Amino acid sequence: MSLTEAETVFAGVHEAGVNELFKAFFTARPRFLTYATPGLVPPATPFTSVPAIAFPGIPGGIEYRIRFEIPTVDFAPDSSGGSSPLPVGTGQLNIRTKVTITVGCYRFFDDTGKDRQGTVIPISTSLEVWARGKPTVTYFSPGNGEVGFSLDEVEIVDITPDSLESVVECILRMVLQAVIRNVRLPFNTLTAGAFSLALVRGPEIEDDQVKIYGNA
Amino acid sequence: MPDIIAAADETAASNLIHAAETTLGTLTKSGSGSLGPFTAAWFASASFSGGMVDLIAPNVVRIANCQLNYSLGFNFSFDLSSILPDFCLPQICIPIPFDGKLCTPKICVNWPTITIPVSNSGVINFTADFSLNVHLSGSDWLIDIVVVGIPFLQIGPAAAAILAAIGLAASLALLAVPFIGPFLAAAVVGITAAIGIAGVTGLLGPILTPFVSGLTFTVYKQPKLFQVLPPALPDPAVNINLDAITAVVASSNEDELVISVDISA
Repeated sequence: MSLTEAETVFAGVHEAGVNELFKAFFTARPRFLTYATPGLVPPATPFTSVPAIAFPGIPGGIEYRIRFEIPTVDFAPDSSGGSSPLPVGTGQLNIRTKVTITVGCYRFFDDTGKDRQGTVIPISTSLEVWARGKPTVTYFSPGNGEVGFSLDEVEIVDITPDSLESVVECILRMVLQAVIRNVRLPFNTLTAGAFSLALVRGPEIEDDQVKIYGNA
Repeated sequence: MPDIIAAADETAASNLIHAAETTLGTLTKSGSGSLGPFTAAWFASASFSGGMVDLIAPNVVRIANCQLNYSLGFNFSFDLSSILPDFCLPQICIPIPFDGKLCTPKICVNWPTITIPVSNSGVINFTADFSLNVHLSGSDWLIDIVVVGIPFLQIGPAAAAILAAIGLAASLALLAVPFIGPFLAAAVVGITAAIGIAGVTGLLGPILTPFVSGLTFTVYKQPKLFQVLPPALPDPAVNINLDAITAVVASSNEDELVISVDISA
């Protein structure tokens, strides 16, 4: 069967290529990997500033930092060797990353009974995150569009009780989706600039590739 | 497996090649050559358009009926005395009674050498095989298709048109020659006969053949440092390296031009 099938042009990017694109994107724009209140970020570290979580009685609110490693993608069929807790099915993809969540732990001192003086001590935990999703497309005009990724489920292993795992997974699904939404792969990149592609079919996931079909 | 595979069927490949023809633009050459018994200084330009693409695995792009659009200008000098006899009008005297005679001067016509400018434009269709050539040129990746051998140009019809143009140009040039009136038609016939189709072909072939010899169309040109996303303040551009590129013609249930690219961050 031809690559273009019923259309006139085809572009397919292997998961290894998409991982290089992820690496290029997050290396050039590292602020999309770190979301933090300014007080919890080391100097000269690129980050996206977020406000502290306001809470009555905590001066300045709860400071926190969420930092991801550069995600990697695995397109169907599964290439994880059985290690994925969310194995991909037909047309699906896995995104895997590691997230480090840091909270500014505010402690009250009352040594003399005269002063209440607070300090913020950061404490962190790191979690392996697996997500399962599918490709999306935004189509602007013939030849102009972008492929992105949406996440349907997130799995974090080894958290108990299950209710806590569900809460953490929900939070991380929302956050990781927001992170991944920043990664856009223009059609022109998927074709390596070989030709303009007016989308007819796709994006489709198969053969470890994301594929789009169209007319030149 | 390569990181990126881009494929185009023959329809899309035709579009790529027609775009490459346009990008190549108009080529120009000048020189001088034999036009039958004469020497002509010429200036020529050529561009390419159209053609049906036939992809032949593993490495041939055949373009059928590609149009070579040429525009040719040349001029040559012609000594009219070589075909028209020089002559003299004798002196004629008329006797005038009581006052001698009145004589006309003797007038001799020595036919001049005239310069005849000719211009002609036309189209020559040709079919040629091209091979794929992927290479780095400076900081750019190029995929060229390079003509194989020297395509045959059917220049007979063009030669006939040019010979007719020579006749027309000769007529215009001759009109300025005194006393040519009765000899005009004979002069034109003499000039075109002296050149003949063979003479025009002998000039046209060496002019047009270099335009198709080594003919190269660039169907792909991208910088090795390829921009994925442009800068968007406060963020810089996102680039990848195009580390390796291959291009082949693959044949399955249809023939396709397949470009494979390996990338790195």
